Amino acid sequence: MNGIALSGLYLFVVLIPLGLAMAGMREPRGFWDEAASGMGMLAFAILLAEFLLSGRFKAMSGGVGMDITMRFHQLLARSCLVLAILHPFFYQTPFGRALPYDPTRQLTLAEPGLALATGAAAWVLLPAFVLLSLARDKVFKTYEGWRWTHGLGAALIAFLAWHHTVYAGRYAQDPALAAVWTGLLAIALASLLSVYLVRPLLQRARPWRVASVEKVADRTWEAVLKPEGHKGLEFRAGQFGWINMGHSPFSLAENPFSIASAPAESGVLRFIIKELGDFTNTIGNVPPGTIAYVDGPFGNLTIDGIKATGHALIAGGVGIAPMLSILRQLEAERDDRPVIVVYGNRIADQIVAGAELRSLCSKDNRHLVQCLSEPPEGWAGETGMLDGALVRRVFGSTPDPDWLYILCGPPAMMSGVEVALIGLGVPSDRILLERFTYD
Amino acid sequence: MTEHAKNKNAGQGRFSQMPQHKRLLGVWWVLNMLVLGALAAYVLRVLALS
Ligand SMILES: Cc1cc2nc3c(=O)[nH]c(=O)nc-3n(C[C@H](O)[C@H](O)[C@H](O)COP(=O)(O)OP(=O)(O)OC[C@H]3O[C@@H](n4cnc5c(N)ncnc54)[C@H](O)[C@@H]3O)c2cc1C
Repeated sequence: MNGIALSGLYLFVVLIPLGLAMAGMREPRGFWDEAASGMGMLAFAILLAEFLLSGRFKAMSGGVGMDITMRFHQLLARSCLVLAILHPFFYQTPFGRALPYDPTRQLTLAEPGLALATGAAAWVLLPAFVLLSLARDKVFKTYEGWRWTHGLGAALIAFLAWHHTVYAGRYAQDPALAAVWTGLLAIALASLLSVYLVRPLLQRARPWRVASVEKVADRTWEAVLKPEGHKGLEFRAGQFGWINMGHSPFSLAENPFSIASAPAESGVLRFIIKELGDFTNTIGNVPPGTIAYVDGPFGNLTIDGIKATGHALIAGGVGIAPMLSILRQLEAERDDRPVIVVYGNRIADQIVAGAELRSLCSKDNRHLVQCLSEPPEGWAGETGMLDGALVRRVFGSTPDPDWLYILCGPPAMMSGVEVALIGLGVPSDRILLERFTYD
Repeated sequence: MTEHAKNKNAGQGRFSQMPQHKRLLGVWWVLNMLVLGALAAYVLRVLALS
């Protein structure tokens, strides 16, 4: 789904309840009460839409990319939070029993009771939940712990908010609107079930086995997976998968890694993994033969189907992984369009697949530019950071806007290079990027 | 920006010259405005009905 379709779907989902409330026959209350109810409905609808933007739904993230989808999810959480916090403050109508001459409850708000208690609980939990997400790295020991809390917490808040909306909400007394709320909640909870239950079940039927894990550079490893009793994964060069090594398929101990092998290397999947935290620091201890599971492929850092007269593959550090896949695939397809690979690292020991890169780029119309910020003596390549200045040195003042510029690496590097390319006249739709972090 | 690139970009507007994170913020802002617009319509109907 492309960005416009995704935005349209979001608006549709978020505005249906408001539309139904407006179309309903109920006389509105006063201005401020209506503002309060409108905000509450919007906040809850955004909360429910968030579920679909959080999981691994290719229909949602396939067009715009997983990193953009996740960022969008984080931004919409802020919109939801503001509306939810403001919601109760605008009510002016007093609480009270339903009056016999007021069947549509214009004159009193629902009496304090369970439906208000669930609303209050959701109102308190939601900001705490968002704060917890923002402070994730400080609060949670493991990423998996955070994922469990986030999934279960979201389900709890959605359920509480649903109870409050359907039982205390005046417009939700209309069966059509109540059905929409219940339907949206069901879709949201089904999305969780799909991620936590259905996908693991599907993965269990398609296990992989670790064929080897070898050190290929400083604190960097290559892991090779082989399919066990199935044909493997169909993917496009540059995509990634969530990899679980040595855990139950139901475990949340899985990490996203770009596939570094080419689709043409049928069967095996190769990953370049940098030591960065709990799991990756122990990757060297994973013994061959370990069962693994792969959820994927995801991501759209891929050149397939995009017209381009040449390709610039610009990678910082372990961002070389998807570039290797793309380059290996171009080679396998005997693609003779020009390629420039720009590869930056801090020290020479961090260079991954140096010999292979040099060999792949030894053709006439291929060019490898290596850059080190702390070069050894006698280093013949570029020195300094992989930044806008290097981009200008490599591509000159007129980079070809008909090329594709594919970027992957540390966030600061990607921003610098992206801004430099745009400044040199490359339209942003000719620049593909994939972030390795979502924050 | 080069002449060639300027010509290429002509008509694509400022949006295509924004980095990805700014475009995303732009889309978020527009969506928020549309949602707030819908909220305004929802609330203002009170005045229309009264
Ligand atoms: C699309 C994508 C492709 C990636 N490709 C590669 C690659 O080819 N090679 C490589 O070395 N690294 C890659 N990464 C980064 C890699 O996923 C993290 O370095 C790794 O998950 C860290 O796990 P850890 O347990 O060692 O660290 P932890 O200590 O658990 O976490 C460190 C940080 O890593 C990130 N992280 C951890 N687990 C996950 C998860 N399940 N989902 C998302 N983020 C997580 C979080 O930002 C977290 O704060 C990629 C990331 C993404 C999003």
